[in-house]
Amino acid sequence: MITVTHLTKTYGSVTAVDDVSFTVGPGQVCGFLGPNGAGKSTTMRCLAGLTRPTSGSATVLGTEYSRIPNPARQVGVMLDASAQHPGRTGRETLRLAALVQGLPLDRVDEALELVGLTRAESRARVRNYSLGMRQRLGLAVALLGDPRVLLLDEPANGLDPEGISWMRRLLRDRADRGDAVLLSSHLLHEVEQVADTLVLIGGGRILTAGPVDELLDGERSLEELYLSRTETTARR
Amino acid sequence: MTTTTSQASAVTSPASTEIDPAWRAGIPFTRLLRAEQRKMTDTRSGFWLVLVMILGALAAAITVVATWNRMAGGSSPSWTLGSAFIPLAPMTLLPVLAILLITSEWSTRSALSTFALEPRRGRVIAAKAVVTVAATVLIWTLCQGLAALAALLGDVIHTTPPVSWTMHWSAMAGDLAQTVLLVLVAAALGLAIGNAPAAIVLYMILPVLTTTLGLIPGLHTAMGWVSLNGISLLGTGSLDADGWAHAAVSTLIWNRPRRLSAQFSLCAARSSDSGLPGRSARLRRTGPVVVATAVLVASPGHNGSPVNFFCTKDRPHGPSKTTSPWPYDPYRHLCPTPLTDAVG
Repeated sequence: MITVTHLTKTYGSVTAVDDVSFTVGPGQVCGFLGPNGAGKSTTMRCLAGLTRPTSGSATVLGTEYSRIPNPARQVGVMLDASAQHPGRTGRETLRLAALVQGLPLDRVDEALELVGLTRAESRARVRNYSLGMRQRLGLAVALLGDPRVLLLDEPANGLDPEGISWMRRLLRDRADRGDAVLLSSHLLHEVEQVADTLVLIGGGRILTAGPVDELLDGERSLEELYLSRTETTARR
Repeated sequence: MTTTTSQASAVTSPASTEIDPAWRAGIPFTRLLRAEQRKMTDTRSGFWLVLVMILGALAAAITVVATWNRMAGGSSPSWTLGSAFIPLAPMTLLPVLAILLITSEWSTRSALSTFALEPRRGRVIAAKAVVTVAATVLIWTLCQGLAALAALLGDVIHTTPPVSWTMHWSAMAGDLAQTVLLVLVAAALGLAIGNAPAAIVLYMILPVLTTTLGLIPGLHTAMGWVSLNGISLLGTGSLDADGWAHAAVSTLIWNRPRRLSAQFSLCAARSSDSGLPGRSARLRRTGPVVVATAVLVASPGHNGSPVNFFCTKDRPHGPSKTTSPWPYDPYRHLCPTPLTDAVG
């Protein structure tokens, strides 16, 4: 449901993503790992139609994101939880998203309940939100249209342990009903528990990719795998 | 995984990798309009701007009623006596509101969400433009209504000669066109610069800048084209030329950036990490449009301008009569000239 084919993105002389290819099928949670600056966010921005690839393609549901009519009903996107107007309330942010998607307003309350934001919290301005609350709001925006594909960039950042555990269950449920989830994260332990497949990139290139149980044969932990594979591209 | 999207293969099973046919309908423009209309007033700054506009207009209307006698000066006053004072606050703050509606998307990076919801960015920008114009027309109309109300009350309270209720349609249309165009220029500056303080300051000092530069002998002619002089002339009732200019300007301001904004996603987020176009890229793309717009706007006030070329015959008053040493006066409401058809 998510297909990245020979994706390359350059900014001037800097190559952020270099010939990256992978797919995420229905019912799969794909852990998208790599050091800071590895090209994870750029790849996700290409998938969400916010940046155009220099070459190659990044498609969702067999088509470019920007060609999907009313895309938020198909693809839930959370790339940056802090990218919300701080002067707007959380509820208003959701309400605007529901309005554009053509959703009834009770979806706003459902989404708030789903991500665990209280009624009082939803009426506060985003300026006053903690990072965890912003993450929850960002997730609520992504989940609002009940999409079948989720693109989540570090959604567990700043969430409390309860929130992390809740999100793990949510992603598992989504995958079990046939959705596809691309999950970028630095919380290796969480990824190890929830992901079906892994894509590990560094310096814009794929270092390793495949099903989790194949990559983690025997006694190796995800952390060991990660550190050994990213050694060559790690930041000095 | 299949890449075709034919109807036959678009099955509705949950494991389908195709787009659910139930949601093939796109986003109607009216929904974008409603969202942008909410965005205009649902933040703290938007709310206060609108509140100050309303309070400012009301305060001016009360002043007009209270000083009706003195303003009329013994002669039979027109009902438009207050129409220069009452829009002072709204017309000063509307450009700010228009700029903020655009720039806040970039400064708060909420554009990430906005463009994820509607990737066709031109439609979002167009919705902002339409909402801005609609708000301007609405507030302008309310101000005219307030002026009429003030005239009615002033007439009742004071013992002045009876109010003249003659409608100066062409002058009113000119005033409205002037107001809308100035707000659109502000919005275009916001789109080009992407930074609210810079866009607001530039909008405010633009007239001073072009006038000052116009004092340099070699630049006098050029500045006649670049200054926003033409917009001010609209308010004086010389409308036949300006209908043409209006269309040209609106097309230029909003059609060019629409096409350009569609390309925004093409340009690299070189200067920012947000996936949004950098400021320099935006300026490069829309800057020329703003300059060209200003040139066209200026043109009805200039003898050799394309507008004059199209309609020189029936202009009631030539540029020589209406050209003031101060080409564009943002504080025009401070020095009220009653709306009449006979200026100059």
